[in-house]
Amino acid sequence: MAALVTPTPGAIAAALYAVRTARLETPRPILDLFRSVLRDIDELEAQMLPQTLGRLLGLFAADPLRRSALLDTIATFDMFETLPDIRRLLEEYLSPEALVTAAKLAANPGVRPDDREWISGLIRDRSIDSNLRRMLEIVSDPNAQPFGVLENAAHSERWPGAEDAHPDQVAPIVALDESGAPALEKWSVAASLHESGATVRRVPADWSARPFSFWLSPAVLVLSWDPASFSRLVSTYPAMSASQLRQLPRTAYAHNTAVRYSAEFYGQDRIVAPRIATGLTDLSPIDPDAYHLGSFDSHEVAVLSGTRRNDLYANLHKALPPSQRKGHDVYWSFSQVVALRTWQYFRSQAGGRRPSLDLLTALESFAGAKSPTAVGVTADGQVLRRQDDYWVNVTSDQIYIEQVRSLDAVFQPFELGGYAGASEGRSNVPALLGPTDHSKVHPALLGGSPAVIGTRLPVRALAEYERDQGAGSAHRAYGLDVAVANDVLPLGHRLLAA
Amino acid sequence: MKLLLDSAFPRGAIDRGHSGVALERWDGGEQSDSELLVTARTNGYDGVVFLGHSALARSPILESVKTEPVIAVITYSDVPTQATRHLEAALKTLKQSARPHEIWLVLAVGARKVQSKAN
Repeated sequence: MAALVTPTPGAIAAALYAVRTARLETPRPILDLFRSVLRDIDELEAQMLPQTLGRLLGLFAADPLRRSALLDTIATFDMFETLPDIRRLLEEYLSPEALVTAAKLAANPGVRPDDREWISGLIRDRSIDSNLRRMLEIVSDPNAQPFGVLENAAHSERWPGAEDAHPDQVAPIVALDESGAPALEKWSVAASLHESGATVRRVPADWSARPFSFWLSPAVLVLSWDPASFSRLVSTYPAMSASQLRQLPRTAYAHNTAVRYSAEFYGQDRIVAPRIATGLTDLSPIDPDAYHLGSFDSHEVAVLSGTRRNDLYANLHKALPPSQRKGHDVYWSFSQVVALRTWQYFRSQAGGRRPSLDLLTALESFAGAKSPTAVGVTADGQVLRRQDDYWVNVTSDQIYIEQVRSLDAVFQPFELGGYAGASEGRSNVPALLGPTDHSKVHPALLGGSPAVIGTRLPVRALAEYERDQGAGSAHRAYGLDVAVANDVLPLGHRLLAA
Repeated sequence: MKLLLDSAFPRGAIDRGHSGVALERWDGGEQSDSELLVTARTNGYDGVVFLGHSALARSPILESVKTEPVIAVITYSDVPTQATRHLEAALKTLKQSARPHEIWLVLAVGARKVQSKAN
């Protein structure tokens, strides 16, 4: 049975303001309206959000555009708790969009049987346009037979478990099991799922009626904060299995996880993960704002530059002293790693000149640039910038005509003969910015320590975990795809061993 | 008190909260240290826990804590399971003593403040 709660006047006033001021001319008016309602509400208000929005329906009688947007929002986020309010609305005026919204919500098992019966009776008995009646039957009756493209799409969207459903032709449905869900985060997850292109189907913690057959299916992803509650779904839909269930974390960031799970389940061509806004996304590692950041320890410098750790402390100590000391620990900046790697790169080139140690100083003190392709380096220690078709010295402005390597070339993998990190034979120096397919190096991310792409997870921590807990343990402990773990772990172990 | 564990901690670490300290783990993708501290503050966390003493050398953490009213907690150990145990043992101290704008280092033998806004 649905919880009996009453929104406070303050919550209604805040939601009223949010709906009244929401911009409806945006490309995503429903999402924008919903997020503006979510802004600044607390956990208790989040629990009562559907009831709050339901109360608003009657207040927008004179503003059909906003009331329509509100009904769309209610239907989009499956707010079945608003049905009594919609019922009141329909008793005054048989609005087609309110009817469609009510018919959609009525399928939810959280709806009271008398409300569900009232909607059925309304569709059956009242004088309604025949096309509208047909659409209402399709969305409210799992056994209705659809005809034509539009009816088939509506039927597949409402009844994914029906034999004749074509779930691949409609937006992927994600069922959000609300047992044990934090209310505010639940709505945030729902918003992100909608944004990513999914249709949200709420599975309430308490059911007022048994769910309709076909409302869910084995092909629907189920997200839950409490996996134990999945058993009630399996007892209702015996074909469903744990393979379609994913557990959401109890954090304020579950919405990102929800979208990631959905993209993995339905494919990235159907679920679009929104770009996570971060300064890192647009900041090149050699941008002046990032180039001198970073705190690489000797293990990281050794692997990423192709240098033996011993040489960092002995032969190279004067030419490239660490940029930071913290107690007994020393660290080098990203610009120093680039400098050392470039020096090693020239050493690796067959038949090339022996590089000058001046190169280390020149690159370390270089201010940075927008892109690695715009920076050139030479074995005799000059740093150049690209100007039209020429390389120009960054300090003297003189055009340089001898062989120049761009930093972009230096950032690619190269081999050193029996020198760097390996005990014998040749050693591969991995790509600097992407040492493996699933890892990256950015001086503004974790001090530059190689991290799993798209995360703040240092690959070295994964290797430390496996060293401590045993091989094959890390991907489970970190919820990481096995293929990703297999790709980055060798790098992590190499960092530990360097 | 609510602390946000950096992603370097295993998922199971969130179960180690006690003494009125709730632990949650960052699973929200790639962000710089500064961004994470700001995100933590805006989402109601009291602080962020970073793995490994090398975090003490990350200037964005040291600088952001001066301006953001959050606590930066850094475990000396960079072995995730060991660091989690040390953190668990230090939670009571952190709850009682750590304040916004401070950096705390968690050692095997307890936690100690290493930076406050004043210094």
